[in-house]
Amino acid sequence: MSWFPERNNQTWLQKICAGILKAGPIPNHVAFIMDGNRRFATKNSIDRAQGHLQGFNKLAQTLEWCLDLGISEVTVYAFSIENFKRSKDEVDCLMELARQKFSKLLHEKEMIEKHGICIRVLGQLTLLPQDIQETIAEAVYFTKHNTRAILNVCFAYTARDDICTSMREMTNGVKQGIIKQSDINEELLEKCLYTSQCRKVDILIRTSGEVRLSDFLLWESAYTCLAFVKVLWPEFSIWHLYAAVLHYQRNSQAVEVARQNNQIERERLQRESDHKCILEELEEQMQIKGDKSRDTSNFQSKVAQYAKIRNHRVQCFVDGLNRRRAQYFEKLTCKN
Amino acid sequence: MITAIILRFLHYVIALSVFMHDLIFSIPNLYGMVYSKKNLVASIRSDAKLLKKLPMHVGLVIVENNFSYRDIANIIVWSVAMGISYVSVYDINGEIKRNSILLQQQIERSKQETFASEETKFEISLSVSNNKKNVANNEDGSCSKQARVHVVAAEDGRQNLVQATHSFCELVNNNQYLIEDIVPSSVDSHIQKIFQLPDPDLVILVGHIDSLLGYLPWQIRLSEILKLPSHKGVNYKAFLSVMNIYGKTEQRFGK
Repeated sequence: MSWFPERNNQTWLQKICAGILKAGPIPNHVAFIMDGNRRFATKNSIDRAQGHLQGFNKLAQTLEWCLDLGISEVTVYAFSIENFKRSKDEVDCLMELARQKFSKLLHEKEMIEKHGICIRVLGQLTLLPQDIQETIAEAVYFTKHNTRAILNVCFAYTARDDICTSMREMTNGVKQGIIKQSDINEELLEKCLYTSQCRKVDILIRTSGEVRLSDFLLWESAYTCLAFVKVLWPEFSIWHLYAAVLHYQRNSQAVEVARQNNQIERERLQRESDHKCILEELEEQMQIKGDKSRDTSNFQSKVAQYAKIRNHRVQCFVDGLNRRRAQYFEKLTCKN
Repeated sequence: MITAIILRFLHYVIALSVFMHDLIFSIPNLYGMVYSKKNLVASIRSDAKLLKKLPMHVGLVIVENNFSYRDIANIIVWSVAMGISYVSVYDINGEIKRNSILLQQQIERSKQETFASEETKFEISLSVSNNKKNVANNEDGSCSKQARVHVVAAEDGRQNLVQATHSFCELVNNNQYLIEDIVPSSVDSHIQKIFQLPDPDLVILVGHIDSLLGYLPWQIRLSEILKLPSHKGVNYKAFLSVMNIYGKTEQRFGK
């Protein structure tokens, strides 16, 4: 089945409900943990492969609903690094499904362009079979200029692995002298995650009644509304989505306040760190010049100057990282 | 404009039904308040035995303003009575952390009320991260049950991971560590050394905001997240019902 199922026109009731919801805040970015495919298969006495296929169809449908509502970014947890622990048969089956679906995507380029969809695949892609890496790379490379809607597929991903990758990048940056250790802060860690190009996650929806995050977007979901829905993923309906949006609207203000307070705290810590760095520099100058008095004139302008240099340094580092990541995809597409 | 009015009305209806639900939920509990507190710890223990599984570490994430330290202390003491070894308490602005003395006092009071004659068998020590203030209630070593309460705040979450990165940086620069060694298991050991707490098995989100608002993001990887509408005036029965739901959950670990 296609990524773009035949469009079922919204019923008048759905149109009215969507209209009412849009009078309030609509989340820009929704994350889904699409849980329950296997239980759905057992419940309906079909095999697991069928269950996963139904799950994929539901994903395609949900993307359409999101676009209609004005949700422009969706992130889904398709395959966890932990899932490699499953039986070889099931892993192979999931890899085959991925192979088919990403290939199919490449055949539907017109539709993708028409809808302006950008596809990103986040995770440790080097763990995947080479041919899947190449297909994914082509899909990502081909759609990267689209901006109307964004689909982030977490594949061979766990949040802890993402955070560790970010830590390794920053540590490497310090080792190579591109950035200083004092430049490492929450903001930089975020800019080095696989999700660095994504907007903040507004709501995380998990289906099938499980109430945990299972290593998905642990860092990002610190200030995200959580919605645990009891329905199995292949049975997720547009009404569940509407209910989730209502849930988001009820929580958005409080979460936003907490997020802003976190931002204020970050800025305070940054100022403190900058002050400390300037003072250390002044101490050094004192020792070199043998001056007994510290030159604290124009302290504020020194801090501003330092902050400017620091921002530039960090920006170069982040740009370098993003270039490297883009080149990974380019290299794989050139092989074809 | 009409849609805005309808939406507002819809939100009022939802808020009202949530309020009614909480009210109805707490009515059976009103009876509970009346019955005798004698042998409360014995009844808590027998309730615990009926649970299929008990968490080792419970995280209390309080997303309400205005705290009742008395009620927080009650939840902690009930947890310890059930056999839970670690409790962490979190609030968004770090207020409980700054006023941990108040919590400590209320834990004392609640311990006396709940455990009565068995009080000496339980030791509950309170620590505030990076600033361990262990409160030993009994020094004689005859405690059969030790529990630790750890008060955490936002800086123990994301900021702590930033600090961990700083530590790894130093280790790498001193050639004590390779960059490739920064993997989830090593970061995990590093964090364990700081907090000396296992990951929370159960997180109880207390209040009406459905977000963890910065609570230990690294450690909640596999935590079950359950809810209590409020901690103020919370009754043991409400706490027990959360533990019952936890007892029924099943983890598949990605398999």
